[in-house]
Amino acid sequence: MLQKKICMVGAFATGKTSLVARYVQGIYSDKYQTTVGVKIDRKTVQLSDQELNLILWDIHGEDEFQKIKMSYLRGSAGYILVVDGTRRDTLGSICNLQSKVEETIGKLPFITIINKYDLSQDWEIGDDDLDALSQKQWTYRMASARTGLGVEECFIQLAQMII
Amino acid sequence: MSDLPSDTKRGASSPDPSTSASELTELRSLLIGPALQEHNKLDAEDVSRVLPKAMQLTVQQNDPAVTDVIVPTVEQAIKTSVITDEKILSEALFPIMGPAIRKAIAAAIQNLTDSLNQSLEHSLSPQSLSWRFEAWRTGKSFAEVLLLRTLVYQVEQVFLIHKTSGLVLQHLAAETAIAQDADLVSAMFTAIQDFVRDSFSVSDDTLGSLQVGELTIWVNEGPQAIIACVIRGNPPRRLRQTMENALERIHVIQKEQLHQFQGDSSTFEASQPYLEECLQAQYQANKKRSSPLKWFGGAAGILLLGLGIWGILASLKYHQVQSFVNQLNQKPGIVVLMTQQQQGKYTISGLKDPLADNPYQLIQQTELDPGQIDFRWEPYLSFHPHFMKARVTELLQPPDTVEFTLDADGSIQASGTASQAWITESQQLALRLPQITAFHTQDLIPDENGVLADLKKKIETQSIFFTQNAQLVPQQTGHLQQLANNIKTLTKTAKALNQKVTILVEGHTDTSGPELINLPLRKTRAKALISILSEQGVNKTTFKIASGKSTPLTNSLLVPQADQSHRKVTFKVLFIHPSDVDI
Repeated sequence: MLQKKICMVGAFATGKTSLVARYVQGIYSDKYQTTVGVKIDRKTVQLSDQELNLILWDIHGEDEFQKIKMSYLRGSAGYILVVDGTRRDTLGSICNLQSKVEETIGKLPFITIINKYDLSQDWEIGDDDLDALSQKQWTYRMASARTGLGVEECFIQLAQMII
Repeated sequence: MSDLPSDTKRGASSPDPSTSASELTELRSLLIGPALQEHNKLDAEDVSRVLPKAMQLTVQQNDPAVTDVIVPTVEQAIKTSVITDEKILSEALFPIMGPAIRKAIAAAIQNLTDSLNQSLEHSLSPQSLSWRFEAWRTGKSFAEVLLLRTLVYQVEQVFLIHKTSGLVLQHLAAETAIAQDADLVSAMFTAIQDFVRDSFSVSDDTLGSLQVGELTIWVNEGPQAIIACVIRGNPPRRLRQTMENALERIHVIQKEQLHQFQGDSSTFEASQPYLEECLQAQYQANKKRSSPLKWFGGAAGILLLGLGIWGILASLKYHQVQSFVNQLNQKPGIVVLMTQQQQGKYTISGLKDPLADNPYQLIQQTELDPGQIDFRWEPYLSFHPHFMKARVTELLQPPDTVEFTLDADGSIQASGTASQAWITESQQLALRLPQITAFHTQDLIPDENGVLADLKKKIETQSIFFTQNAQLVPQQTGHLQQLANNIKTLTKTAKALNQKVTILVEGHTDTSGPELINLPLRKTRAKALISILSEQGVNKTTFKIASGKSTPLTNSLLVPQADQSHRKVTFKVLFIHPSDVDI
């Protein structure tokens, strides 16, 4: 079976770990747990013509005190940028992060997940922002780790992009 | 064409030399320039053709000049290669570097082992003694055995991991091990490696081992792949070598697959035998781990076997000794009272008559080692008839004509002839012997000079032969005369000694005729002879006719003269005491 390494990248508390937990184990917890270093999970994806083993590297979120260790990204087949839809600044930081990632591991398929779509009253991402992403030809999707909305589709879409 | 410039030169006879020189140069370049360029080009091609050959010749001639020229260039080339991309050279050198480094390390370890040997030289615990025995038995050094015995381990899992992605290429687990999700563990190894590298800014070095409780994780890193072993316990140094060897070989045989890895691990099945070596090393060590128990079992087995053999031998020997004791007890004059065993030696004690057989001579006839048996005898006098007779004979010193008969009640009957003095002395002496209740001498004939005994012997050995009937064989007149004289002398002497003589005359026949005829014939022959002897002056009353007997005809046809010897008359002399005569 083909194996692929996928990295979850984003600012802190954007819901990277929750997205992985929802996707891999189908569970969600309200309790926030910050990731120290990296957590690794695996999910087997059934694509139309083959199975794919995704090794998901849930890398700790980047903030002003802790930068992402780019060495974790080596050998990735693709990556997922996670944005908190209720914190517009995370969208800005993700753009910077993407540049650094591309510098480190080169041009690779990636998808942007705008998480916490269930919190519509706190939503800060506007259409302009989405247009800007489209202009950059980024693939993006709304999702909610809490409800599970759009989560699986995001991972499957990236898997298809990799293959 | 080469002559052209000189022709031109000769043709130019201009009075201005400077002008003519520049023109000449121009003309030369016009004429031979293209050819010269062509010529230079041809030289490079020619040189490239002959260069390898030239280099080969130079090497064969062992010319140091070429080496001197090449060395700086090669050095510079290597330097440039390292600056440009150090990986190229490092990958090229990887298969060579490993063995060379290991060799150096092995030498260092050997030194360490030697020093350990010295430091442990005086250690004398029971366990160290058993290890010393093992070292002597296996030919290893003591320190090697010490290390081996203290290292107990099991390689539970082996991972082959793609270095950059952390994806698992191959994973093997021991049958008894509880294997975790290889994909996750593999990725975590890589993440930990990355974390350590970044955190401690050691870009070239790797984390060699991890310790988690009882588990040790050893990691060996190559240019493209990593081998990680999950080990329970204390792994030995040689496991590192096994891992290193496996990694090197995998890099050699799967170089292409490693470079082109895109997530398909099925192409790495060829690596499995090398990874199994890492697991196999563990199995051998495990076997050795159980060896102390095996040793104990072995030692106990040997001990039991030894005890068994010793028991059988001891039992065999015991039975041999018992059999010998029984043999001794059956001998007259020996009574075994006790048999003791002490420190593998037997002591047989009891009573022994001085006249009894020598036990040391008896032991020679058995399979027992005489050195293993001690005797302790108390002397005693046995009343066995054999010894009684021997003692009586020894004490009384009888003449040959006397015979003793021992009765169960301890009485001795003496018979034959002897001097009166001996008879009288014997009657006194015999009763001094213990257990002799009576010494009967009534059958003894006093015979001072042995005359009676002599005559008795002469008469009893005399035979007179007959023909098939009661006729005497001719030419026996002399014998008959001598016989008659002997009998007359005997009766006369006996009378003087107050003895009466009776001579039993026995007629003999062969068995050729029926007993009905033979019986009267034997009497007839006896009577005939008595008649002849009485004619020669012997008193008829001296004789009594005995029954006689028939002697079978053996080989009568082959030896006819032998049959004649059966047809005879013989004599037996009886001395009768005067009291018996009255009866």
